[in-house]
Amino acid sequence: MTVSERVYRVALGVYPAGYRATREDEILATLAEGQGERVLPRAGELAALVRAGLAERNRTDLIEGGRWWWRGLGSLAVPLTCVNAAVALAGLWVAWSLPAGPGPGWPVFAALAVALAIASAARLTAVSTVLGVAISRWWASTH
Amino acid sequence: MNALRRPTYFILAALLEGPLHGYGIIKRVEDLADGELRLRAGTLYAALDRLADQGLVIADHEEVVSGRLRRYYRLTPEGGATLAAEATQLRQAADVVLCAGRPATVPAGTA
Repeated sequence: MTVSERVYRVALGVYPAGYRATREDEILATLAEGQGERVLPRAGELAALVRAGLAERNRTDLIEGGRWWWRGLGSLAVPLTCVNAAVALAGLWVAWSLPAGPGPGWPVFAALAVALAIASAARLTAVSTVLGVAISRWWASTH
Repeated sequence: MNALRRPTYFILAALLEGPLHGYGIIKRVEDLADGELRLRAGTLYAALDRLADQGLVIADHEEVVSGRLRRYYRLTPEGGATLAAEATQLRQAADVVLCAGRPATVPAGTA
């Protein structure tokens, strides 16, 4: 499996599982044909996959029902993941710029923030993202 | 009937000459639009799903090439009729400006 296919496969994780089961191979084949000799994935293709995946997820939720706030959280997961990453980076920067340094516990909190960001990206649940933001903010405020 | 969006119009137009698979549609659309419209895979499949729901395109057959799945899509009769109606409307709209062969002119004072 090529690097680009690996990354595209991760991006396809945004789609609902049922959709992936029937369409993933076909979409990957189309992406592979358009990829040519290029090694890295195209940013535009990734953005289009995420956008279409979120739309499909919302469409599926509307068809299959589900609570409005849960659908909303699902839609917010990607932007919240970006916020989480930004806040975590800002926290790191603040912690490192303090005269006393980041403190002894920083690897644990850094690992937690990264793990939560990955979990939220993989599962698209806003809950883990919000937890990630809270932890990184707390970490930044205590160091 | 709502006007077709530009990518949708070109996807239907790409299938006029026969069934095509995903990448075939992307290339054909690019050719038809003189390179001005490059469809992303995510955009293409979202549009194909919508068009299939509306009964305008249908999956025709599948084949495996170099270990990769190709699913071909074709226009339905409804899809062909929708495309023809849209093309007629576009021609009528263009004729309002171009007036059957007369080149469009820039109104005085706006150049």
